[in-house]
Amino acid sequence: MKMRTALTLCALLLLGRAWSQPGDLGEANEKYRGGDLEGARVLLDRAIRDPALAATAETWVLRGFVYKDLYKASAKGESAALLRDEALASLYTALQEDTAKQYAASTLPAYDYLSRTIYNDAVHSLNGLAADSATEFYRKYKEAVRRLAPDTTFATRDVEFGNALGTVQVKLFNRDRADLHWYEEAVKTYLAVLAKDPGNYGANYNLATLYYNRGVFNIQRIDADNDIPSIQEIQEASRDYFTLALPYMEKAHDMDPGRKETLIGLEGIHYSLQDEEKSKYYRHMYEELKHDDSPGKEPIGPHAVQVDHRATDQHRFRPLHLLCRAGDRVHQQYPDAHQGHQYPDRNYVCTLGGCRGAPSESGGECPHVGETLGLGGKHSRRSGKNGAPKDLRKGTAHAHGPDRHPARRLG
Amino acid sequence: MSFGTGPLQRLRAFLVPYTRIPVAVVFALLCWGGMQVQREPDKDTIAIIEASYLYNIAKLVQWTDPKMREGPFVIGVMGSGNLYQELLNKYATRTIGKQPIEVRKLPRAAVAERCHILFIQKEDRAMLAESMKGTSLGSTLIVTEWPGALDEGAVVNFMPANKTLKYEISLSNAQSHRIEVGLTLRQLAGRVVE
Repeated sequence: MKMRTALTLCALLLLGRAWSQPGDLGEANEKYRGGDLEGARVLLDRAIRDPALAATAETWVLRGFVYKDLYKASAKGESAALLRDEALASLYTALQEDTAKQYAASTLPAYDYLSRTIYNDAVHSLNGLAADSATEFYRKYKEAVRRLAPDTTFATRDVEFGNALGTVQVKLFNRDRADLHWYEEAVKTYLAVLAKDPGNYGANYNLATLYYNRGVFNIQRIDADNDIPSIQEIQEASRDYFTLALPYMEKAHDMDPGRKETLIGLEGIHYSLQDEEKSKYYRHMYEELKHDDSPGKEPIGPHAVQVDHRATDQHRFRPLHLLCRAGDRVHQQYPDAHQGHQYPDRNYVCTLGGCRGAPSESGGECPHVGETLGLGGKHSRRSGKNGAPKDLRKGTAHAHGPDRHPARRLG
Repeated sequence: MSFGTGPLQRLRAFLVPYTRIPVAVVFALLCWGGMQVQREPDKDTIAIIEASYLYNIAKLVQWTDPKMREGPFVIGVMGSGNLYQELLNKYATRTIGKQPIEVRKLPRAAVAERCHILFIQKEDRAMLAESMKGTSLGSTLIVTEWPGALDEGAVVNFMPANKTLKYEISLSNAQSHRIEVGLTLRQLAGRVVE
């Protein structure tokens, strides 16, 4: 008796497995179409553990889109970032598996959209003075982009982002100048910017100002408790900062001699270095510029970066097509179907739930399963000629109003 | 539209006499104002260092005149508004011995007040000679900030040295002002003139 129960259980388990695995994808698609993203996710997470399903692009495409939509629906935060990571990873795998580039038109824009949202998170973090998370988001953004396109260069964006990050780090340093952490970070950031773009005016000017202010801050802290030897020590330390500041301020001035802020900067640095003659020289130049009343250039302000407005999920999708696989129920119905066979010139649509047997334009009958199929395509909702969905006809790509989800659109 | 006897008309009547100020005077004032650019006090590193030196110098010298050991310890500042502000902000609540520090901003004129320390900025160097003519600086430690000031009678003179600010001392000038310069102050000086 016990043996019989055990065998029955085993058989049920095996049957369930055989049944559930191929069905997970179709069911997940149904749930996705129905808006049950969480349900779809559970099924897809299970599906990717199945070696056969995990080896197909379709699974990863759908999983990528489900996670993308989950990310979009979630409140921003750590959990949202995890959803996005999953979406990106799935879409990336889909692109790798999709050797025929069948889904690339859909997955690439989705991947691009998600990577841009990482960049935008970096920008939002900067706006919130969260320098560390901004740096991490930016690193992840680059990593995401480079995963698909390893040769991508970020020189311009690195400079732009670095200047904005430096501005934030300086702001954080100014909150508590006794804590040198943000000072050191800002110096590193500006030096990194200058390593990429030595002629960057903003980085030269801001680094010079940072060094200069650091020297001034040391001196500002002198008070009645300082004796003469300590005054001299402080001066020497500050002198080193002023000396560091000088070449960067000079470089910025050389790049744009008409700017007042570098003249003021050079005047201040030379003054603090006890060089009265040069200090007066730059003061005089500044006064001349001031009296000149030439169209003034705006003093350089804090650097900021803008969010990437291209990060909108409005890309057009090509309809998703799935290939039939061995083990699908359609195969059980039509054993002669080729696994993975595709008939892009036909209008027959098969679903994972079985061949719907749509008549072809030439009036034939459903040849066999293994036909090109849309995720969850159903005859009942077709509106194209001969009942075929417009989306699938001739394999053309279409954009469809507000519903940008390929699988839903196909339904 | 008439302004009548409203506030604008009254303001205009008030301003009219002043419009007769010679243009040359206005120009001169403008030019002078342009040269006397006031640096932000918190960025005036030299003023900050000088103030600290003045306080330390005050602690490291002795006034032999008994009258100078009574009452407040007066530090007079001629010119250099930033130095005056710095002294007020950081040192005015301190004492030298038992004498509370009093910081005074002096007019640009020959000094007629009793001061323990008198600072004269370089723009007012002419005032040093003027002040020396009088008798009020008998026991005053004169501090200056231009080259050659020790030869003009200053006891301590600030000078740049290796891109920092140091000071030089004239012991003979100190002696003539009845001031004893402590050993520490001498040892830490950039230059000591016997």
